[in-house]
Amino acid sequence: MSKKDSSKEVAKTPAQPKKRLFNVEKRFGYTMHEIWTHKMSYGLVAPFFILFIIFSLLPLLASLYLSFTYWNILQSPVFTGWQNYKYLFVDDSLFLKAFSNTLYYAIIVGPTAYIASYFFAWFINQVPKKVRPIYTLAFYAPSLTSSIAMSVVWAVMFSNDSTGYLNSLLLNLNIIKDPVQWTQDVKWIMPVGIIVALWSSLGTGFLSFVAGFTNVDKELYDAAAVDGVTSRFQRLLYVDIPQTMPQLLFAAVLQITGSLSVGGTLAGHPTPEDAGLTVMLHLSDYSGTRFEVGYASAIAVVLSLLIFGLGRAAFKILSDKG
Amino acid sequence: MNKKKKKIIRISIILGVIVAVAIVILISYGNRKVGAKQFEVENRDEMDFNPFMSTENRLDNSLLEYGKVLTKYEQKGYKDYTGEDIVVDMASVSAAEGSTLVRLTEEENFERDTKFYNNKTEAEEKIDCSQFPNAIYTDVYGCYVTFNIDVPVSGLYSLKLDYLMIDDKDSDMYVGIMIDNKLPFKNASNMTLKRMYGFYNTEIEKNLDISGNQIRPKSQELFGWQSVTMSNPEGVYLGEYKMYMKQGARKITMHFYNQPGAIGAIRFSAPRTLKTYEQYVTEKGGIGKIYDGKAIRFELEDPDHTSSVSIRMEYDNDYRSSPASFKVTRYNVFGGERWNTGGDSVQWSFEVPEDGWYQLGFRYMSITTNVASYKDIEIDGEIPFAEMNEYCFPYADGWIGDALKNPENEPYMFYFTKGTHTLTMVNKIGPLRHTYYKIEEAMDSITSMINQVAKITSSTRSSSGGYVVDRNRDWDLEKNIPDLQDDLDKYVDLFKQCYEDISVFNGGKQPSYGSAVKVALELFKKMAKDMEKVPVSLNDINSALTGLSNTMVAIREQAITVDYAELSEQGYKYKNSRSNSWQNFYVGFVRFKDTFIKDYSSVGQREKTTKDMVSLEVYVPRGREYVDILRNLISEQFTPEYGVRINVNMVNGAEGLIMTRYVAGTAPDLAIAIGAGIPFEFSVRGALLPMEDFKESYDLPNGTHVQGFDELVANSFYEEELVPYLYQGKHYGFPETQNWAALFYRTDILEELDVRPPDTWEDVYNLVPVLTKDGYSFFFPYGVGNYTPFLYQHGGSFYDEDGLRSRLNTEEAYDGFVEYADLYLQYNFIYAADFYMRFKNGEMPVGIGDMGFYCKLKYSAPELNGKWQILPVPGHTRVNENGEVVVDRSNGGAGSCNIIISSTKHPKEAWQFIQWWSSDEVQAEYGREVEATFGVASRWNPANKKAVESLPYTQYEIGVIKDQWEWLKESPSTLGGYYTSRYLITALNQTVLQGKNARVALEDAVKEINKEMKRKQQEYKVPEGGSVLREVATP
Amino acid sequence: MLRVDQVDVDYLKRAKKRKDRAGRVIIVVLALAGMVSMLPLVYLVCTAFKPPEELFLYPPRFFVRNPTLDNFKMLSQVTANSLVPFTRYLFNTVLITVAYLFFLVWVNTMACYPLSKHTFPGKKFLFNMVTYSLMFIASAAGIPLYLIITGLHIDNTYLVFVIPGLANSTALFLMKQFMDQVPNEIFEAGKIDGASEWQLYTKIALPLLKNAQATIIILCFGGIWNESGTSTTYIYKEQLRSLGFFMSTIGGGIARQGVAGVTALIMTFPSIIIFVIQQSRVMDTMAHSGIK
Repeated sequence: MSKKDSSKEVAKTPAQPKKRLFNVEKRFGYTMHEIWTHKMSYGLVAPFFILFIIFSLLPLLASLYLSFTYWNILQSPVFTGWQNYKYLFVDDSLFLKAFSNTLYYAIIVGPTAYIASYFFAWFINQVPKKVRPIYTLAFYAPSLTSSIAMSVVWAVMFSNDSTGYLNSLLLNLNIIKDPVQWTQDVKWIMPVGIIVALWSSLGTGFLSFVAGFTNVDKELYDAAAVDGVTSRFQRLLYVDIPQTMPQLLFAAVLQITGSLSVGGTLAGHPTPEDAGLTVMLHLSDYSGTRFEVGYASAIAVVLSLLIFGLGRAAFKILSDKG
Repeated sequence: MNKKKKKIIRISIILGVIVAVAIVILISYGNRKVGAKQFEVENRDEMDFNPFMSTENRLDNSLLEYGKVLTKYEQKGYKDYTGEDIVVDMASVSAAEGSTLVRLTEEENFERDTKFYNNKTEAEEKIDCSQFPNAIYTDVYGCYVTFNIDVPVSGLYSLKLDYLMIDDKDSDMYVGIMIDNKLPFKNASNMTLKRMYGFYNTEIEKNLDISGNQIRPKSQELFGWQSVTMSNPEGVYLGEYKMYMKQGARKITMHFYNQPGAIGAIRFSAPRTLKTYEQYVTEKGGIGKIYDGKAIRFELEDPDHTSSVSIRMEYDNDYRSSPASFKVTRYNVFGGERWNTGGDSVQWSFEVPEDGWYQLGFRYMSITTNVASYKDIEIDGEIPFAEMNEYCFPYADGWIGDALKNPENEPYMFYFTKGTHTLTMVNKIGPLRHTYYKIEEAMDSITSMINQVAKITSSTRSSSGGYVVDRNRDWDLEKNIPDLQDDLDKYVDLFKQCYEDISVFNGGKQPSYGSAVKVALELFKKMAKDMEKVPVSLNDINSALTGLSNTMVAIREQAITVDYAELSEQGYKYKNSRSNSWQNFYVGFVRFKDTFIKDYSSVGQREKTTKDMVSLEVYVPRGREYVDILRNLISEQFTPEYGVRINVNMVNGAEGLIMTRYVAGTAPDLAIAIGAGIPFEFSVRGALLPMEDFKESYDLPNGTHVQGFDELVANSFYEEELVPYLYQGKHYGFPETQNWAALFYRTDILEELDVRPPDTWEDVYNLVPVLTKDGYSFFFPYGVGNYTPFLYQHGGSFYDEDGLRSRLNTEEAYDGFVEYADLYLQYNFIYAADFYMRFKNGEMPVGIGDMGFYCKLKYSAPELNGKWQILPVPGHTRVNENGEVVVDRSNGGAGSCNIIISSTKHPKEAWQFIQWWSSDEVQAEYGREVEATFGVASRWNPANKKAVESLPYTQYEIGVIKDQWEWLKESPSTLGGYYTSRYLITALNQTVLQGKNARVALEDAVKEINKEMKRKQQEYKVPEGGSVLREVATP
Repeated sequence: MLRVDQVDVDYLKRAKKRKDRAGRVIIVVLALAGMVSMLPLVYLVCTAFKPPEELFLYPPRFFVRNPTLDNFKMLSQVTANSLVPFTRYLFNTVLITVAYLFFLVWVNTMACYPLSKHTFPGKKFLFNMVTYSLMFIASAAGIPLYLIITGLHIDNTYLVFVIPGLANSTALFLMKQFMDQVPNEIFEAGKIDGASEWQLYTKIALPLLKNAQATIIILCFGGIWNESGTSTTYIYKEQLRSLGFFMSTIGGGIARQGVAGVTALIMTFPSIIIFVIQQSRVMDTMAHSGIK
């Protein structure tokens, strides 16, 4: 088959597939025909999905299966049905604590980071083109350097020692009398974690926004200007936001996943009164420390379901408009 | 599109130009001309008196640096003695009061100890002691001896000793001497007698691994009589020590200590005088027959002996290094940064083909940028002429070949007779010794100035450890410290002088350590100009001092690497000593290309793989350099002795990986450096073999002794170290490393406060108010692990003996908990503090630290050397089983361990490896190598108690560590045990930070802990009345 | 034909004319925030040059006072004495990075186009699978993945660095969203002009994905460049391991603290370069209005 032929056929077929027939033979023939008709589409997606099924989907399904088992890694898994889930919802008192901490975190960090990412990207879009990469670099820097330098800088900032930057400052200003135990005091563990998270929140979503803005059709600004849209803010509302809807959706999904699957905070693990316990920590506690991988998988499934729910909502809100 | 094309062209042109320029720069850099210009220095031992201490020259000699005493001698016109040696009759030497004297012949181990290996032939030879029939034996604890001599004429004498080192410990013997009960000078109390080390297995052909790489020759002590004239052990002084003795009968007292050995002869002799080069030439009859053959090269990588175990053969990949080492590894050079300590000496022997005059040159490389290296060069044990005393190897960028030459850059000529000669090089500090002491004196004086200023301005120390000064006030400093302006000017002059000297004595080049002096200079210039700046600059002065103390450390380092020496005709040019860019590129290419051919898993395997040779895979989650040292040891020792191949797999985080690969059925046979908590978790799931499977000791057919578990533990380990690995009566891990804790205290500050360091907790509680009064505090780390000592010292334990219930609800546990919480509630200890920083600035002059803290201090706080000491951690007094009152110092410190995976097919060999790895010798040697690689900063911390003793701790420190380890108490692991620390944190936090009742908090914690333990016991089906820790007959 | 930068210049001109205060405020605020954001980067650079006495200062000083090259020297010593020469690790990492990024972009670019612009049976299902996998917390997936990879016998080869990570859900999702952003009219117009489906893909879709590609290169570069987990888990031959692994195994505690600073700098530096290059590519992208 030459390329020309196939492309012609593809071009002809944006039509919806017909009603399904229940004759197996016919159906098989029909399926083959369908595949043949869309061979370009399938051909293009095939490499991705073959690899995806082998290296992502299969392990995911395995993980899903494991959530119905007792598995301590070194011995083979034992199927236990719904028992893990039962324990999770009925007996595991810590899960609730972890869950509420995670929600607390996600409700603050999620939206704030999301909005901040968008606005910073939008701001950057307003500065001259030549300096944009530098600005972008500056804001993305915390993500580039994340692990090492970050932890050092923040650890010193919120050090419990009176010589820590923040304690030292507050002591010198006579705001506090004794050094605050930022990572020991149950009142501060979560807020400190949130501040650190916010600071480095300009990540993947931010980058996609930056790139997304460059895709906005510039003629639309002029068109909008004709319609009387002149201020930056109006342009944002009428041109930029609708135009970057796909990125908004992308970032929203990532943000939801990211904030709900937050791991340890600056205070580390374990924390006094489990004040810094998140669902992910609870999960890794079960898989890493207690070697109860089956149960850990169940936690993962529950958390994933929550993310699905919110993710679907985001799809509803954002993709319909887009 | 056109635009795009243009753009692409433009970009490619720019890129092309950049690449071309880079290549040109690289090539020309590789081909750059490098020379090493010799320069003239004025060099003397006599030292100026401390400009900040007007009365120093009136001080007693026993308190003065040798150089200053020398100045006094000079002023008084004392002359060197010139007569025959005064030989002390060893039979007349007697024990000093309160000491006993043992003759070498009376020492019971004499026969055994005085055999030695000849490193070249590996033959055992016996040391001949007949020449010193009355030799004195000195043991570790030292001995004082005394004798009388008759001094024929008043004058300066040098001291010669004949000695023999006996036991195999990498530390030197110290010597002190008193003349008529007085030290002749301060340094006379700690002169040293050094050991000798040689290399085994230096024949390349016999010591290759499968890929043809040379296996590193082992450095081992050589025993034998040595004769030495006492001089500064760190090579500070140009000449040997000279001491003044008045005519007549003199009573001499000598102290030998630190290491065991024997003293064969003591002589007082005429100090050596060195001829000048001209005299040398004249004496040898003028430069006559000059050798005119081909240059004779002799390699320097294999010396006869060295004075330090850490100096060793190295390999260098440079194209021109001889023999070449870039295709296969050859140990082809010697020295490097390990050969940097003043006083380190190395001796080689070489063959001269015919009588005549030779030019002597070296191919060498400077290690530190812009630093010249000073070395004594001795031929046949003597410095041939004065210019070879502290000869300067000028700095060169990279490898260079150069003759020994005079300041006019003309080579010296040496006269050699046909036959074997020796060449010795001794590291010296050189003329910078003056700078070194000047900086030290200035620092002392500046520190007291800071204190004075701080007092006058009533500056307080802020929470960040710095000084807080009221910036708005004017302080009339001049009135309070009348000499201040004068002193400031002196500092400026002194630093200016030092800065210049550093440059002058490095051949006009300024090394990086000079910058700290420059910083100090600028700072004091500023203050000298405007004294009002002094109070606000206290913090800057402090940090300048830290910089200066590092400069002092750097000044002492004299490292170069040497490749070979060449004897040649006069005017010989060392043309082939530097490789050019192409050669460098070629080396890089060859090494890279070889990575596609070489089999790295077999590196270090001495023998060809045979089918029946068992091969084990070992996981080592350690850094690259640690793993390389281990690989070397395995190939040098383990594989040849045991006939077992080891594939060392360097991994990050072994625990998770072992589990994954266990599931996949590809687990390694064993793993080392595993966290102490892991074996229990693995063993519960049946993934490990218990060490009890290997109880019996036995010998291999080739005579190698395999220690059984019982023997190994009994000989070299504390039973307590095994506690964390206990599961159902068996041990599933074998201790590898062990931390230690100690009380660290600042001797200077405690002295000033006139208090003794605390021995018990009661002492601590009495000390705290004294400290607080003067603004000091005591450091005790906050955290769960630090409750443990209190728990144990009160007689409590974490779990019952079956490991089924928490015991934290007992009275003992409660008492310990309350005492611990009270440190913060009642005694106001600081929860979180950077002890290192506050110990340095003196804010926390006493506190509890561990080995890491020790290393950190040793490594990066050289200015504190000699100002701190350690003691066992404080404890509680109690009466022990024998009715004696003891201080219970129970404390833990479990480090890492070794495990055998149950899926191994070769458990016997796996144990052979573990017992080999854990053995005294291997751990000691590994520790030595680690120290040689990383320095004190990352000292090895073996769990093997015998190996610890061979690490370079002082005898005193070893004592403290061992005392502390006698009280070692480790916590067992149990099912659900991880909840203990977790809920203790909560309980502690609630009690200390939230003011909750301690008992309630602790009881709440116990409830949770027991719940989780119960849950885990159910999971693993531990029956009621069963046991986790003890063996239970039927499940 | 309107160029983006022209538009921008016009923008600025107009902004200047109107004395656009907001514009300036934005620039100043951004500059300040950017500086704060850059702190760890500054710290990273400074730490690499710190002598030991400054490394252990507490609280740490941001800027280095007595900069020294000792840490770099120490690193070069460590690398010079390495069993497998450093160049091989570098080669491995460059190779796997280039291969991985190339195929990553290739595979995902291919897959996103039909998912966005074609209709074919199962499309929705396939896309949902990708987005849901993005939201799934895979806690116990490590061991199954290990079994799959060893089962396929791609462990101990370069392939293991490249292949398992190619089907990257995030990348595909991002790409697909960017494709969605492109109005369908362009393709309609293309079809009307008689372009074949293949031409539509290569001539219209691909150029429009340039900035999405740049973005995923930025996102994925760091991961593969610093890679050390795969080296540990799947590679047993030292000479096949990556630079990230090499760097991560320079241990030695206190003695190598300075070296750790240098390695962190060295490993981060390429990420920054790639970032700047790719980011300029993003900025260079012409809006689709330009292609007609």
